[in-house]
Amino acid sequence: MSITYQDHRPRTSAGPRTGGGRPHPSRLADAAALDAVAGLLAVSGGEIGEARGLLTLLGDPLRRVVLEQMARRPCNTSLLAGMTGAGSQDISHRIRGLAKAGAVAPARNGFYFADPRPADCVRKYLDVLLTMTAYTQGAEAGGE
Amino acid sequence: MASKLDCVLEALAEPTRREIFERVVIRPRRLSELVEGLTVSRPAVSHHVKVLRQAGLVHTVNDRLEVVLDVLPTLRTYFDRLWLEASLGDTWITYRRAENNDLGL
Repeated sequence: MSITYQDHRPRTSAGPRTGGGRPHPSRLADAAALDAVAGLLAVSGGEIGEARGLLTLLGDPLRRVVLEQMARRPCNTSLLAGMTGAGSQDISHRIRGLAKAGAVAPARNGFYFADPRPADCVRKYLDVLLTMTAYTQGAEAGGE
Repeated sequence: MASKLDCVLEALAEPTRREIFERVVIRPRRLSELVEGLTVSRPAVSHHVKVLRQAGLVHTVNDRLEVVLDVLPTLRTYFDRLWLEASLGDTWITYRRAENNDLGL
C-alpha cells in the first residue's frame, strides 16, 4: 500500500526512512555510522579504542621516535639517548608511558620492543575512516 | 623541524580534535553543524578545525569541511610500516627466546 507509493518517490539523503532492513548510513547518527562501517570491516570497538589510545600517545614526536626505533629492534634508554640526542630522563619517561599503555613490552636488561598490535589497530581504524570517506566523498572526487 | 607527519599525528592526538575529524570523515559539514552535539564551545571547535586544516587533514569545499582525501592513505602507509617492522621484530624476539632459552632474551 503506502510502501508501493513511497518506493516510487525520488530518494533524498535527508528523507525519513520508511522501509525495513538495514538503515542507510546517511540516516544514522554519527557514532552509529562509524560502528556500522567498522562492523562491515570486522573491526571491533576494542580495536578502535586501542587505535585511539596509540594515536593519543603519538602526538609527542619524541615518543613517536622511541616507538619507531623499538619496532626495528629492542632498545634501551642509553641506546635511544645516543640515537636521538635527547636526555636519558626524557627517553625513560617516554618508555614508561609507552610501556604503561602496552605499546612496548620489556625484553630483558631494560631493553624494550614494540608490540605490533596497537599499530595494527590504527591500520584498521584508518581503514574504517578511509572506507567512510570513499562513501561520503568518493563520488565528488570521481566527478572532478 | 616538525615534519608533516608530526603535524598530522599531533593534530590527531587530542581526543576532542580527533572526534571533530571523525565527524568530518563521517559526513562533510559546515562549522555550525560541527558544533552541534559537541560539549566544547564554538571558539574551541574553530581552533581545533584550524589545527586540522594546518596539518592538511581537512579543507573547505563549497562551504563544508571535507577530509583531504590523500592524507589517510599516507597515514595508513606509515602505520603499515610500523606494524610490519614491529611484527618482524616481535617474530625475531620470539625466535631468539626459543633458540636461546637459557639466555632468556
